[in-house]
Parts: sequence; structure tokens; C-alpha cells
Amino acid sequence: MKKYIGKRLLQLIPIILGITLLSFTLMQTAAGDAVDALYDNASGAVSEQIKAEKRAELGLDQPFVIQYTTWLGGMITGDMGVSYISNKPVFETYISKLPATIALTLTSILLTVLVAIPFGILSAVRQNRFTDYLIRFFSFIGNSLPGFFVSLLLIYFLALRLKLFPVMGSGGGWKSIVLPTLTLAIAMASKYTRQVRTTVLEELNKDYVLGARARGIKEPVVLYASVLKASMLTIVTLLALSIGSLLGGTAIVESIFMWDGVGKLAVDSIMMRDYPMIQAYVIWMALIYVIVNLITDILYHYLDPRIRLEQEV
Amino acid sequence: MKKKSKMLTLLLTGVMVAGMLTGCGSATSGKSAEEKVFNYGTTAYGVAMGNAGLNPHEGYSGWSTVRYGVGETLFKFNESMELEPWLAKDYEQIDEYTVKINLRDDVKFSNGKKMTGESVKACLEDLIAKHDRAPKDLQIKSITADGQSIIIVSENKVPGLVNYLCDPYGAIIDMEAGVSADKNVVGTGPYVAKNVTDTEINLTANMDYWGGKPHVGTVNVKSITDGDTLTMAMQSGEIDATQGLPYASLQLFQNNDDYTISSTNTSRVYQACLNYNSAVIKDDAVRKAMAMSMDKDGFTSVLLQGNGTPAIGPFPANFSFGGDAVKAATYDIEGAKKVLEAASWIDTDGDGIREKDGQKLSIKWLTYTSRQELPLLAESVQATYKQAGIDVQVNATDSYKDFLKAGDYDVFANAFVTAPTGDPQYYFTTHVVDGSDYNRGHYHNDKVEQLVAQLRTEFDKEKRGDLAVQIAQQVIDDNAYIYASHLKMSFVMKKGVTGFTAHPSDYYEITADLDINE
Amino acid sequence: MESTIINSITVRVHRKKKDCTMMKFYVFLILVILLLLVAAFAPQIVPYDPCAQDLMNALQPPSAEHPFGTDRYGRDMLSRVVMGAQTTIYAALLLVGIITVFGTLVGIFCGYKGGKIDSLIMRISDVFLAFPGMVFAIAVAGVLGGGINNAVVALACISWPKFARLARGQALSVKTMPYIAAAKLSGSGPLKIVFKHILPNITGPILVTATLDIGTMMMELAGLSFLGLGAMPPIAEWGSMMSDGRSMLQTAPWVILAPGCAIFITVMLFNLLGDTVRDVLDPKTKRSGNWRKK
Repeated sequence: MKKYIGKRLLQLIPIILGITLLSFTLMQTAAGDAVDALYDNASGAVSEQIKAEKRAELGLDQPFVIQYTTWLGGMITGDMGVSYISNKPVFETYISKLPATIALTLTSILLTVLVAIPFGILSAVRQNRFTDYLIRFFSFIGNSLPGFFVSLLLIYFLALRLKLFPVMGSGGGWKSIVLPTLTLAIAMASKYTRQVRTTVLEELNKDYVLGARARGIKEPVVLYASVLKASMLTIVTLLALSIGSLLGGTAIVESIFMWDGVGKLAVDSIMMRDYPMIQAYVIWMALIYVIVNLITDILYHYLDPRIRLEQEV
Repeated sequence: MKKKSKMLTLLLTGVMVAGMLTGCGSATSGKSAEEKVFNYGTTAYGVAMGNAGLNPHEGYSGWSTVRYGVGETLFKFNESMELEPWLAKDYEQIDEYTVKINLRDDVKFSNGKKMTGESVKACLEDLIAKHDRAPKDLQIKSITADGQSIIIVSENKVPGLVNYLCDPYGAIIDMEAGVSADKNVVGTGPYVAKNVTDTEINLTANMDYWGGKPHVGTVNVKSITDGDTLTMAMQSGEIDATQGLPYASLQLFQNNDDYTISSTNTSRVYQACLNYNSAVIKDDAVRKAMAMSMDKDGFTSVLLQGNGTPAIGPFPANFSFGGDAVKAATYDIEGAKKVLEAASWIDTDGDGIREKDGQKLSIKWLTYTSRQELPLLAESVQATYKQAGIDVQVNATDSYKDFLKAGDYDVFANAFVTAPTGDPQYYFTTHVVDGSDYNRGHYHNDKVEQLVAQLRTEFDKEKRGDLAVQIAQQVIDDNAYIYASHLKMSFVMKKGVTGFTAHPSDYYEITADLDINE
Repeated sequence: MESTIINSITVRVHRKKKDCTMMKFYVFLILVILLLLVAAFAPQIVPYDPCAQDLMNALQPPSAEHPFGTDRYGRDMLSRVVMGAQTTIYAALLLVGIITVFGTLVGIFCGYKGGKIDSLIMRISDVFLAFPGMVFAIAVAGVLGGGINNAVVALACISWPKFARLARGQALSVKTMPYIAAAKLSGSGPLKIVFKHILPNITGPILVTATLDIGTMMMELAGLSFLGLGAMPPIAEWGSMMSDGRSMLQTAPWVILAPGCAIFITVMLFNLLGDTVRDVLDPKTKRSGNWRKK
């Protein structure tokens, strides 16, 4: 097992190399650099001479290869550099934004699971009846509204009209996490309710269910002991993917609710061409990707021992 | 918790003593000054604006130092963008290279230390050693301190030196106290920052403020970047005042008794720069017709929803050399048609677009989207120019720099703060002279070159104003630039908030005048 | 190809008389075709020029003249929503088309070939899967300029691995089937095996995923529009219309509700169609419908 995990973690190296090189190349070819972005955003204009000096200071006038290897060299010795924009250490800044994102990930995944699994099963059990149609109708609504629109509606009705929650994320205590959580969970729960429904329907048709019923085992037992457990595989995969993307931060929700997490940091950094910060972000994404995949595979093995860990997934 | 109450007691005692001393002056509302909390939401603070933190000697952070009442500059601007004393009493121009500035005697930093010539010298020396723009603006050779005055000797003639010192980077901080790790500083202003992050600044009143006791005990400045969140936070009462609302939201607060709005014209202008390197634009008639076909009133009243004033020249009306000190063509589509016809631009193939010598009258309008007004201007121009028979191809992109470099544009429309220091020279030296950084239209006029050269060395304020009017008029007569509108800046606040006024310079927001009466 | 599926399904439907899956399939198919027709002939059916401004009539509420009201330039919202159908649906279909075809081909190739080249391509797909979409979108917008086509390019770059994985998995399992071995023995070349034997057998799941993805991709494009990386003005596109109009939610709600409803209806239709296609292709999930009644 340990050997297996070690081997999987080794995969990180090529992915991180590939991903950072790709992002570096992309941002280099994109127009403008941090210096332009910084001075254009602030009021007033500065002469090209000042910009050129700033570029030299940041090393932005160096050829691409040198910039990348300098960064990589620092990275290997544990120094992720300093943000071009805020002049603060990248690593510390990045870490300081993580708790907010992780908290939001946990709450929205929890809510999604609490909604999607019961409703998905209910929908499957009552296939093509009123309950099923109702659940599916709502899941369609939740699935076809852009996130920014859902959050605006939530703020408008729950915060402004009913005054239940604060508009802004930060500083409002537990209440402030409710609206961003709802925004994220509505979209995800809608999607997963349908996935759970499909998976459960598939399981219900398998022979072992038929067999169990034939042996007179009670329906709830069949449902929860066999079907649900077997359906877990699919559900776990989906959840893992979602956790991965949530941990990468949700730029739109974070900026609407002023939730100070990594998604907002990432968008700002990208917009400002803050290369060192962008690199921190893509490394984080690679980490999440590999670790989430690893955990999923281990869970697979645990849920269904027939699946061997060694095989290529 | 314990710490808090201790602090509160301390503060309370301080106030009681101060109250006794001043004879219990202003007791306008039920709450004491200490109990009053002012929550301010703004779009203008944050890492992306380059002004996070409060260290004036770094990037644009000085804007935050001055805006949020922590630091003050030696001189300040009044509503007409004219110089007024602030931390300094006055100045004498000893010769063209030397200026003597006399400081107030009663100013203390918020840590209790007195502001002296030495401390100002230390601060300015640190500024020119560390800041990116200041050394080139100020061109200081040496500073000498003498009691409560300093003498600045400059490398070259810098007529705008004192104006430049009003730039927020000139905020005076105590260099002995230095800059903390979270980029906090000790200034002379009515407020002291307790906590500084990239998204929020928590301030408490400086009860020993030299300009009088502040009326509000606590001010929280919150960076809110999303316009809709800002709007709804204002409506829900989570913030007491705000700056930077989307235009569409402003009408929710206009004509509403629960809110007060304070607006002012700024010198941020939306301008179209016409590219003389383009064959079509080189045609005087085309530029003239373009100037006549821009519906400045429609753009400001409908698309900006009244949050601007139609512009004539580069400077707004609150400047003595701005507003209608210059004349420009009025909106006249029929007139524009005649101008084009006289220059034999005729629509021969009946597609509504004029041609001449087989060339279509089509212009490439380059602009960008990070200022929400610019795409609106482009779309408005697209519609009105079409009526005059001019086709407009809009290219609104944030990689506009590449197109600028490639020269691939007929018009470049942008937003620009024309007189951040109240002085006209800056705009002209960056926009209309040969080889200047922002002369995107490759505009050249001998007369303009000569007038700008005069402006560079003229110290007399009146004469500088006259020169500015002459240059601006020449640029407008040549139709090198078309000025669409000046941005109006608005603060929205709850009813009862007073002493919170929008200033044309955009430098001053939170002052000792701020008060909340409920 | 399509007709064979439908024929074979018809047989099944006859077997289960009460089943209305086919019925549903046709209804949704007709509705989607209607929608596509509206999009295709948008320029012919719009009542007004969707780009014609009339500042005097800006932000008018819905009326007989303008059933969906007007936007802040005084443009007719109905015309813009109809024109927007073209841009939005075209973009989503184009995107899904690109990633499906490309992803599937890569996936089959990897699954069939196996070995070193397979692991190399899978590592590359790892990089793309782990790569944050936003960095890509902004970089593409920076290189190629903004616009809906470039947003499609950006999303395509990071979405193809999903289909590659799916197709590879399917190809791997089909590869071991006896009939492939039989085909090999009978001397069929690799191309023939892939296109004649593997591809038809994995079309089902890919088609279902692709149909369901249309809605998702429409949402993704709308998200990019919110960040200012979508369609360029004055082109009408639902996502950017919504994000443009969002500050008017309280003052002129029709500006955001009209494109919002359009997105909602379209995404729902494609999702319903996708679900039904799955039911049609995969009769396993159908049977259980009435299992409690037994």
C-alpha cells in the first residue's frame, strides 16, 4: 500500500513540471504583463521608462527560459518567490487564503450530499411518478441557472428582502457562509440528484436485487444495504471530482460574496499577470488533482475489493 | 475581550478629559463619538488597484493613506483643484530651482511625536529613495531641514513641484516608527489604522488630531469588488456609505430620503485619440465629421445615466482653464454629412457607408473593457457615426496594447485622469507632444510643441492657465482628440452621515469632519 | 446509423407497451429541432435589428411593441434573445462537437494502441485535466483576443480529456470482446476494427454524455462571460447579456430575466433530451420503473 501511494505521488513531478511550464508559456504569450496591469489599473499613467525599470527589477525583461528556470530553481529550494503585485511572499499569501476555501468546500459538499443522496434515491424509487417529476424539475432549474445569477437572486431574496443573512461573506459569523454554500450546493445538488437517480436505477435492475427480493428481503433493506452501497462507487467518484474543483476555489462565488479564498486570489492574479502567484495556484491544482485521484482509487478498492489498486485508472 | 474593554475605558477617559477641556463642544447626537461606527465599502481598495497597505512610499498605497485619513500631505487641493496649505503653512519659490516650505508648528504624529522639518525631510528622502514615480516627478537634488521649515533644491526647473507634493505619495509619515510588516504606518491624520489587510482596514479615531477631534470613533474600510454586492450591502445596511456603485444601481438611491449622495466632477476624461498614421484619419474632413457626430449628451445622460458631464476639452469645468474655456464642435449629424460631402466622401453604392476613390469610410475603433464606460462609448459612437455614413469596427479588448504596438487602429478610446495634481502640464506632456508616451495618434503641431515648451518653464499660475487653454484649443481645432465626457464620482451614504464628500481630486474621503447623526 | 438504433428500439418499445420513452424522445427531439431552427433563422425572424440603438427608448419595460422590453441602448430584448440563440447554441454545439470528436478519437487510439504512447497521452491529459480553466481562458483571450470563438477554443482545450478518458475506458473493455479477436483473425486491419467494430459499440455512452454536456458547457460559457471573457459587444449572447444586465436586477429585471429564461429553457431541453437518449439506448434503467407494483 505504502509503495503504491509513493508511486502515485511520484506522478506529481511530471504533472507539476508540465502544468507550470504550460501556465508560464501561456501567460507569457498572453498580452501585457504585471507591470502594465499594475499601472493601468491604478489611476493616472506613468512613463514607459518607469515601467521598464520596474520590469528590470522583477526580471520580466529576461528571456522566457531564464525566467522559468529562475522560478523553478527557487521553487526547488522551497522559495516560491514574492508576488509582483503585492510584494508579499507567495507561499504565505496563498496559505492564508486556504482556510476560507476549505471551509466553503466542506459546507457545500456536506449540503450537497445531504440533499442529493436522499432525493436521488427517492426519485429513483418513485420513477416516473409525481415525486420523481417534481425532484427532476427542480434539479433542472438548479442545473440551468448560471452561478452568478443564483447568487444574485439569493442575496436579493434572502439577504435583502427577508434579512436572514448578511450580504457579504467575511465577518458575519456562521451566517455569512450560508449564502455562498447555498449557491454552490444548488448547482451541485441538482446535478448529483440526477446522477444518484441514474445510478440507483441501474443497480435496482441487477440480478442480485431481483434475487434479494425473491428471497423476501424487505425493500428498505434491499435499498439501503445493497443498492446504496453498490451505488457508492459512482457517487464517490463524482464527489471526489467536485471536491477537487471546489478546492481550486470558485472565483465567481468568492468575488460576489467577498469570500476571501484562493479562487478570487487566482482570478486577480491571472488578471494582473502575477506569475509567481499563478504558479502557486496551478501547483495547488495539480496537488489536489493527484491526491483526490489517489484517494478515490483507494476508496474504490475499499468499497469494492475486486478493483485492484495497481491497474491503470 | 478583556483587552477591548480596557482599551474602551482608556479611550472613554481620554474623551471625558478632552471633553472637559474643550467645554463639551459638539454633542449633536445621542451617541458619543467613540460609540459611532462607520462602515465604508469601496471598490477602490485592494491588491488589484496597487494600493493595498498604507505605506505611501510603495506604488499607489499612498492613495489609501490619504483617503482613509491616516496620512496627510504638505499641501492639499480645494474643490477647484487649487493649492491650499495642509501640514505646511505656506511656501516661497526662492528661485527657479529652490523652494522653501514652512511647516505648521502644531502637528503631531499619531504616536505623539511632533512633526518637524527633520521628520518631513526623513520622510521625503525615503520617498525618493524607494518610490517608483516620485523621483522622476519631483527631481529633488537635496533637502535641508531648518526647524519647522524645509528647503528643497531640484535638479531641473519643476514648476509643478508643490503640486506633485500633493500626490498621495507625499503623505508625511513618521520614519522612525517606520513601516510595519502588515504595511501600517504612523501618520498625522484624524484616524489610526489598527488592522490592515488586503481587503479591510480598521481605523480608530486619533483623539489628539491637530485639526480637531474626530466625531466618529471607529471606521472600517472594506474592499468590495463586485458592484452588485456593494449595492445590496448598502441597501441591507451592512455598510453606511460607499463609493464606486454601478451606474445602474445609483438610481436606487437617488430621490430616496433614506440616502444622501455626494457627487463631483473629476478630471477623468473619456477621450478618443485619432491616429494620424491612418490614411482615412489624416483627412481633415473625416476628423471634423467624427468630432461633430459624437453624441456626448446622449452618452452621458442615457448610457452613463447622468454620471458624467459632456466634455469640451481635456479638463472639467471646476478648473479655471477647463470647462467652456475652450470651444469644440457641437453634435450635428447633418453638418457632419455636409462636411464629408464637401470633401467628396459620397455613398455611391447605397450601403449607407460613404466612399472616396474606392475606399470605404470605415474606421477601426480600439478600446478596452476594464473601464465599463468605454464599450458603452464605442457602441454609442457606432450608432451615431453610421448615421453620418461612417462605419465603425469596434475592437474592445484587454490586449489593446498589442494593437497599439502594431499600429492597427484608427481611433484609440481610453479613460485618463488629465490633471491628478491640478496642473495642466502633465496631460500635454504625455499626450500631445512628439514622442510622448500617450500620443497614440502621432499628432504633431509646431504651435503646440512651442506652447508646451513654454509651459514647462513657466512658474506663473495665471500664465500657465492661459497656455493650457491655448494648447487645448489648438488640439481641439485640429480634431486630434475628441473628448466625450468627464466622469462624475459619487458617494452614496445613509441619511445622517455628514462630512463625507466626494472631492474632484479623488484623494480625500475620510476626514475629521465625518459624523453620523441618527 | 441513427435509423438502426431507432429501429432496434422500436422493437423494444413494442415489447413494453406502456412505455412512453420513445414518445418522450420524439417530443424532446422535435422541441430541440424547433429551437435549432429558431437559432438558424434568427436573422430572418427577429422583429427589430438586434443591434439598432434607440437611446430615447432605453430600458423600457415589456410592452406590446417590445414584448421583452429594451436594454440600456434601447435595443429590443426579444430580438436580442432570438439572435442570442444563434450565438449561444452555436457556441455550445461547436464546443461539444470539438471535444467529443477529438476526445473520442484520442481515447480510442489510446485504448486500442496501449503501451508507452497511451501512458504518455494520458499524462498529457492529466496536465490538462488538472489545469485551471480560467488561466487557459484568459491566456487564450490574451493571445487571440476576446470573443466567443476564443472562449470555445479555451474551454475545448481543457475539456477534451474527459471524453478521451471515457472513450479509452470503453475501448479497453470492447477490445477484449471475442468479436474483436474474431475480426482480427479474419484479417481486418486496425482502421477497420476501430471504425467498424469499436466505434459503433461505444457511441451510445459518448452520445449521452455529449448531449448532457451541452447544458454544462453553456453554463461554463456564461461563467466566462461574467469574467468578461465571452462574447464581444454588440453580439448578442445569453451569458454576456445576463452578466451585462446583472446590475439592473432591481431596476430593470427584464434585461436579465429574458436571457436567463432562454438559457434555462435551452439547457433543460438538452438535458431532458440527453436523459431520454440514455433511457432509449440503455433499457436497463427503464425496466425498474414499476418494480414496486409487482
